[in-house]
Amino acid sequence: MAANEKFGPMRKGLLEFLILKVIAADRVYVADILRKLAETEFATQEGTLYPLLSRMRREGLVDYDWKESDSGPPRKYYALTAAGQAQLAELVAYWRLINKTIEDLGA
Amino acid sequence: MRTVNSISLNGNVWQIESEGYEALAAYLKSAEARLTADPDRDEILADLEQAIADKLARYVSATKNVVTAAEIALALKEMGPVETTDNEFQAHAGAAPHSGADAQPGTHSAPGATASPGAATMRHLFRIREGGMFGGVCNGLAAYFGVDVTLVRLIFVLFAVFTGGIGFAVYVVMMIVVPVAVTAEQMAAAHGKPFSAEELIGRPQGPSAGFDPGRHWRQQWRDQRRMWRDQRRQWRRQRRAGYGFGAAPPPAPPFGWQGAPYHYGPHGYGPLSALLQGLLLIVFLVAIMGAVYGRPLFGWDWTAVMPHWVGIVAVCVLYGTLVRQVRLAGYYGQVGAYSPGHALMALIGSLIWLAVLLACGWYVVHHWPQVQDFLQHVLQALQNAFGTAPSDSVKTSLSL
Repeated sequence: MAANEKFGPMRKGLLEFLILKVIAADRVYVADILRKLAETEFATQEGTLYPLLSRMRREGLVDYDWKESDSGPPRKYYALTAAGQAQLAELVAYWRLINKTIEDLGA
Repeated sequence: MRTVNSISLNGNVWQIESEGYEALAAYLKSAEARLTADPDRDEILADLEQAIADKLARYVSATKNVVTAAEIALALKEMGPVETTDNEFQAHAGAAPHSGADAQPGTHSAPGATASPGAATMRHLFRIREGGMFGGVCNGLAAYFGVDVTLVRLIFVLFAVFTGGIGFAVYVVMMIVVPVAVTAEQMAAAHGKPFSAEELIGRPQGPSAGFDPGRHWRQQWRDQRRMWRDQRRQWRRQRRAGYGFGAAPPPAPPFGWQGAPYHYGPHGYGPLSALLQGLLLIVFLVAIMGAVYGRPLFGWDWTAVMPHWVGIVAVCVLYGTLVRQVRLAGYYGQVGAYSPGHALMALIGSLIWLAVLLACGWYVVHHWPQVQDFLQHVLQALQNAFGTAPSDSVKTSLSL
């Protein structure tokens, strides 16, 4: 579907946006994020997700709590911060604008 | 019969076939190399190890406790190559050559922003906002000297405390003067030539052949101490030479200046200084009593924000530094008798310093989690610097 190579960088740039959306919908573990994205064209692997989440946490967009799990060690349980919510709102608005621009320019 | 290595992943032991072990070690090693510039490197690596362990857990049972090479390959394929999605870090990772140990050659598409190797060898001082606590000055310095950022911060804070606030002023000045690294090229320049890559090339492959930041840092620390010592000597010399010459500019107060005998002149700042000191002492006594008994200070319930002992230490440190400033101002005021204007300068300096102190206090109160985080990092860095061995032990055993 999205086999076009030019879409690669676009997907990469949008990944953060998608992650914000997934976390905004519900407090999640990393495994949940991966599962949700796996069904989309934004399928992601741990190798990419962990560094990205760590950066988003540094930027104050997301934060995590440790939660005990019944199997294995405690897990990180992610949630959006106020700044993360603000950025998500901004991104959604911007995305609508882009959509509108694409529609308006129409072919 | 196959050789099996037992390894520890984030604190748990796993038995892995030798070939699989090689692949896993290579994967983690390349992950580490890619994340060299990432301030949260250790945390991410721990996360990755845990994620791998979770995947391996599917392959072992009560009757099968060894993970095969094929299963490792599957798990690593699921993990995917470690990429820093961040543009700034990509420049760094892109400049690092793919060591032959890359677990999955070919699957990692080279990041778009590959800095040319020639440009990356120029080393420039930049502020690095990414992962910085305040203005990214320490972060930039750490990248510039290739040392742990926590150590730089620690040195900076100690420097600031022991020089009675000059360090803060230096920080503010550097925040204004030193530019922020914005583009990928600037980020690469901030780190200079990628020393991590050089380490990787120049070193024989092997799990134990890691970069020893402690050695590097100790060397720097020695140089720094030498510099300070020379400076102190110079100050002392200046003080001896400077006294009594009316025309000579007032000597800079020496490093450990605590208060020489006063000769209160007619300019009137000396008594003022003494009065201020007395007032401070009274406030200090009230505050320390309150701190010891855990009472609110000046209407502020600090016990909710910090542990008890921190409050006591903070009061002592605050008092010490304040008194220092007042004494210094007194010192300048006294010297000011020879060249008027210095007393005023000192007063202004003290006021600026107090403002900086207030700003720091405000920062601490409003960013307490970060400060706590920082203190933890300091402890960790100290442990690392003084040679506590890394925990990942690797031993080899045989299984049938």
